Amino acid sequence: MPLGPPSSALNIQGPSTSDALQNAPRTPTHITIHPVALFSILDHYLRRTDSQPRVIGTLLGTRHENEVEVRSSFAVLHSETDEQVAVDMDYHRTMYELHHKVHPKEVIVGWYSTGSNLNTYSALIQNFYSQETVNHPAIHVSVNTGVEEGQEAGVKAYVSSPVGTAPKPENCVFIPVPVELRFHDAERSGLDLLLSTGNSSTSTSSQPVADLEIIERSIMAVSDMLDRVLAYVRDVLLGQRKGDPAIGRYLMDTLGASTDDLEKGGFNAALQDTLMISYLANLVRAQAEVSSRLALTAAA
Amino acid sequence: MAATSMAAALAASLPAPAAVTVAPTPTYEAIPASMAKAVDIEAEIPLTCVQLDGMVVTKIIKHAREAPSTTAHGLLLGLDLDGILEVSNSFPLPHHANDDDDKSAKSSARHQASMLRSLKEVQADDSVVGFYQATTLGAFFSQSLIDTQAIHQDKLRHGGIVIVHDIAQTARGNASFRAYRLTAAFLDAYKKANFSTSSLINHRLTFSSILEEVPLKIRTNPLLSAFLGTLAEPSRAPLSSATLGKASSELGPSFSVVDLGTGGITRNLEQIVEAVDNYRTEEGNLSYLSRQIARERAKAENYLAKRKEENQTRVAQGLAPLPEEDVSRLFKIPAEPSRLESLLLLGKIDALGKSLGGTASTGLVKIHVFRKGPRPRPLRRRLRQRTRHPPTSSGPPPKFNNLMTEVKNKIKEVPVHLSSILLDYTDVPGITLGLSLDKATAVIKKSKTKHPNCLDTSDLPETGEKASHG
Repeated sequence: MPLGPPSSALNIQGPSTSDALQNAPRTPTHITIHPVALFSILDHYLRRTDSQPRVIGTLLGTRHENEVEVRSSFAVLHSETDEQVAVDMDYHRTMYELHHKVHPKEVIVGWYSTGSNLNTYSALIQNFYSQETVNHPAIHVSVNTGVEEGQEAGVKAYVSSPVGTAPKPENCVFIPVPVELRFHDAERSGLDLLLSTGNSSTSTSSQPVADLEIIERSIMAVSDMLDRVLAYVRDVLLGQRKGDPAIGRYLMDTLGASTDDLEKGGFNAALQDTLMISYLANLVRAQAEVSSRLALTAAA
Repeated sequence: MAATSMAAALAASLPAPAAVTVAPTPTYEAIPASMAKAVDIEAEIPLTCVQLDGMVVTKIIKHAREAPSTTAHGLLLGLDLDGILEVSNSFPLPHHANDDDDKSAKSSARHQASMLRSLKEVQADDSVVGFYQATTLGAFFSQSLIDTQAIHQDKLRHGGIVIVHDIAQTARGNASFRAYRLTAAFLDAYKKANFSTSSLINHRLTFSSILEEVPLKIRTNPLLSAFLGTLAEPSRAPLSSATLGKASSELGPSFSVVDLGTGGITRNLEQIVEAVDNYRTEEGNLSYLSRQIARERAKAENYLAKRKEENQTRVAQGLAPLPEEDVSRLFKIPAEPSRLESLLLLGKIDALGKSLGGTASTGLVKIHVFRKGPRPRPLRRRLRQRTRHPPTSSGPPPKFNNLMTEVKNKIKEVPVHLSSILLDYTDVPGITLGLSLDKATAVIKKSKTKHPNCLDTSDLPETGEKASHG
């Protein structure tokens, strides 16, 4: 699934042409981004000065075969004028070293900028980062924050290739590469939390949230989905919409999920276990409480 | 008034922090007309709330999950405004395994300083307001946490806060962040480095009154909200069989919370057992030490009594009494042991118990929801009939309609069942056990009449409740 508006670019993964080139790094054909990197970029954009039309920074992550996984990012100082572009290289190095201490596995994979226009300066910066990502092609991620009128928020990723008979650093072609959001399952609940926070009218939500509330929300979501499925099924039955056999199969598979193991007495066993654990937990807590208070009375 | 005008001048010179965050989007957040009320140079306005930025939430979660040990920690940056501590950024601190303490402290300080300098250059907040600590299953009481927070509470404006993030709970589907700081009573005892029994009694310390919780809010800035909205929006690509298998948006719904699996419980139990063992060892040490103290004291008292008796006989015989010697020089009474460690262990046991109880109670609810939800058997039989004749291109099978109505009706009952389960749940034996606590307190109270020196514990905060020390 694309993170931004669909693009019509074709991504062709050329077959490894010769065995001699096997050690040469392959051009990434797939890029994934961790939410942290994305949110840091947005935060950096918020904190830019008025004179900066866009901000840039370094992307850190890991590489597998021909996939690049962007796992974090940090802001880098730069200035663009009509005549020149400057990137604070010292700053970039310092930040990278600091970051490297905490996350030793993450290396420089490329750079990001906000806004979606690619210009000569982009090519120059790309050239700079290509030197930083020794031996591997640098990737460029452009995040459109969607703040400007008429532009859609989204993320695009590119790799570059030199152009012209005599390649110059300020000339290059940016080739779009599919990009998608990736995070660990365990981090999902954090995103859910932010999502519900973002949807609330005050953009704030208080912690902690009760477990039951979240369960209730999930069940409501299931119920809503069933509503949608039901509406669809009804429409098909009434002949208002053409049925899709594939959807029918998927629904069948989902609704026919087996519940055998829990039905055959497993249910009561599970219930008893849970009750036992609940009892135990309360017992432990009561003991701890009594013990701490007895410690207070011992001096008598 | 000179004072107010000065404050107003200050307010004018200060950039309004609220204005900075909303700058790129034309939302109209209420910016106070004058910041005079909010300007707080001496940190006089007490903190009422901690506000955690969305980016920090993801940063902490990522670091906590990836860190090699379970004790990932880092610094929180931000500023306070009118009683609300806004945490706007954070960075992880390197993890030092078995390093030289002195060396690691120094390199960590260097890391901090250069990180702060770097962040300042890109207009990020660079004032440290506290630190975060990852934990599993709620057991975050540790000596190092207390030490760090005690230093912060001395050095930082407003004393700083510690945000505790529970990895285990987040993995279960409920991202949990809590903000704490040390209570005044504990800090007092800590500064005197005195955790003897009498000190505990004077400060009324139990594990629940070591830390006080500060209300915590999560905030997403408008840009982040908008972006998240775009991510969660279903894609407009037409529904086709090719895309059915995947989620239709980047952030499709997730149902890990309703998973019936009880994976974490074994580990939770193991950890409780371990903590209880540690506690028993610690208690053993303590009681050994206090026996030793009692023995020495008895010896000293015997000696004194003997000397007195002797003196009396000498006086009766008309002899000069022997001088009263300094007993403390003759008998070395060891200092009373610190009970801090056992206090922390108890806190750990309690937290583990609490998280176990939480898992059990949600598990119970899920089991009941499952049972009282769609009744599986008739549904399955019908489905089996249908699957023998798989749907052809004519569309979904005709009986689907009834089936779905049934499922839907059943599922609609779920919220009703939820509430009835909650009522049931109060009758679970474990809950009534909580009542026995009150009995225990009553017993302790009664014992007060016998031992007048003993502390009345009735006004101590209950466990689980927020300590309400001023």
